[in-house]
Amino acid sequence: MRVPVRRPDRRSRAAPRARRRGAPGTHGALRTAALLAVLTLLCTIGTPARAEQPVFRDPFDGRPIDVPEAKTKTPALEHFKRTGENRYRDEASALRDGKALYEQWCQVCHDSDGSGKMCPALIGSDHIYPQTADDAGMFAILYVGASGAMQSFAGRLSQDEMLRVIAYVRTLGK
Amino acid sequence: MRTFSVLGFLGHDSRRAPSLCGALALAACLAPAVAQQIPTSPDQVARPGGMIPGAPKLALVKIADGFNDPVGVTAANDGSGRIFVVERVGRVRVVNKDGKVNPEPFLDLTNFNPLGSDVQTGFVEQGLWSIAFHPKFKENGYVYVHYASLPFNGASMIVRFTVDPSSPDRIGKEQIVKSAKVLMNIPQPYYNHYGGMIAFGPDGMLYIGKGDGGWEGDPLNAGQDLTVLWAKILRIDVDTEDEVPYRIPKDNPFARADVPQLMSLFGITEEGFAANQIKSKPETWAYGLRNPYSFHFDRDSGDLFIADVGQNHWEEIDWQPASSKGGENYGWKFNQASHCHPITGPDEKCPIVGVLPVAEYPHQEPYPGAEKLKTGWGCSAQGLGVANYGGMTKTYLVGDWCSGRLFGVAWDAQASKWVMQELLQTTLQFTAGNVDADGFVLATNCVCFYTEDKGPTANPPGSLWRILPADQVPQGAEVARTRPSS
Repeated sequence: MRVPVRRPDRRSRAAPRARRRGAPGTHGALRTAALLAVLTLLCTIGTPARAEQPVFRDPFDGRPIDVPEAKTKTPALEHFKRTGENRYRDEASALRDGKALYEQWCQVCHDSDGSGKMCPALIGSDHIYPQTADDAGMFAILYVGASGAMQSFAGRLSQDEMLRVIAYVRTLGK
Repeated sequence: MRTFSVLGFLGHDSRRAPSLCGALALAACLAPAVAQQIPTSPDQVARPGGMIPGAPKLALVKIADGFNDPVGVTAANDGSGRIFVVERVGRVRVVNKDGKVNPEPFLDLTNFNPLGSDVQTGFVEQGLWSIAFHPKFKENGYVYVHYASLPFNGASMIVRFTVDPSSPDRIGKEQIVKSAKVLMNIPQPYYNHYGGMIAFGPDGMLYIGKGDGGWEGDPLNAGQDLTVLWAKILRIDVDTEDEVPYRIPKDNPFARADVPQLMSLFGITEEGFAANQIKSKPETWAYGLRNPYSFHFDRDSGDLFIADVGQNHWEEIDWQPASSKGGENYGWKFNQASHCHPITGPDEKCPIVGVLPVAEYPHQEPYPGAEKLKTGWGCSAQGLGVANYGGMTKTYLVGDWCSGRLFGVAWDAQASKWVMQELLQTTLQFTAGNVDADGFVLATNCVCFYTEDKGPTANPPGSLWRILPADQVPQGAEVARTRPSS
């Protein structure tokens, strides 16, 4: 089965592109100034100029949580912790891993399509915990748990595996 | 309509201990302005959104932690203040009055048999569920347990052990073997819906919550089948000679429904004919239940609350007054709470079979295709105990296994109706509860959901809590994270 791959959202990719375009080169000060002006304009209309280091929050009460350094670091995890961007969304092998993990740990509650059985839906935009919509928010829920049956997966999944599951969840409901 | 008047309570009481409603307590017994009634139509069944009269802001204070899948708790009520926490793997731990947990278990069913554990724990619904102390435990040392047996292929075992007075905190291996008396061995067809809790009623009888045998949808029709022990609350008399496992109480509703008799075809009323229930199980007290994992008697009134775990869409709370003669049919599998089974949509129409619950709460999807709820939902009702403190009167506290919500169910005498309120939401996965020697409701939580189950000793540890009014939390006590219901 072909697994649909979601493109990274504009929010996380906008910054690197902008930085590349804005790098000073041989085209002269005038062009640089113009690009800077465009960047400034983008900032003022609310589009983030660059990805920011995510703040992980407890879904239950919104307090910031500490996510210590992982035992096994991966480039994707390091990048995620710096930017909030989940590179596994574009990586077929990671999505396959995420699917297998989802089927092992999540499916019985949240259903194979993420629509939820006895537990909340993971797809759509109307979430029990609004932070579910954001990869950093979903990561925090997996890491620290929410309530009742949704206990912490910190002892069950590695942080890198959490990213892979999240990447797969984002393919559902498309 | 079944109506239970105050006078009915006083003069027609089969289950309550005689001393409960003596002359000095007469005023308290007469307090309700309007007697409680069992709902006669679904619109009278309480759902989340009501207000429990007098309910204070509550908090859960941690008593002890570090338990392996705690799924049951009780107090011996022998004056020691000890609390006994049941670990699913097959152990019972002693929590002393100061909160310290004895390193050695009170009872360990995992190693008295040289061939291995006596407890089947392969599925998360299997294990040791409950321990009950004989009403005269202080004198006779009798304790009773209910567990899934490994040697008997998962059968429900009800077994009595005797505490050696010289070793009050531990029933050692030898004592287990020497004192074991098997009361019941109920074969289990599937690996789920065992029920689990056992408890003595104020009448001194042992009540047993027994699930419908499992799978889903009650494929064996156990709920309505009086010839099987599944899907019932059972009631037995354990005060027998050692050679006799138990006796059928003479006032059980089906105690004489299958006795040999001469056939008479004339001069018998239809009601008389209907009383013949050939092959019915005389142990049955109530039926039509899906998975009565927990139930609790109100110490003050003798009333019984049952938390019947639901299937896909609704959880059910049943109530029996102390004057009940038993025989209630709670409708499974024709009904799930006050709804049809199988439920198909919001405007379902079907007969209500038997007795309605007093309260119910939905899963996130109350019927197939329904818009998912954001509040007031759960997936598995765990009755915790009846609260009579902090402004609460005969309020059944129910914790949900999936959502961490704590609900209260009570009769609102002024409004003459049952009410259900989501009192708070915790992060906890509630598993069980009971009332301690001081009357406070205890609760346990595990980290042992279906898919996450790594085994009864490998899951993250669970804890024991006491539910108190928030303004009575001792200084420095650790409390569960909660948030008010939204």
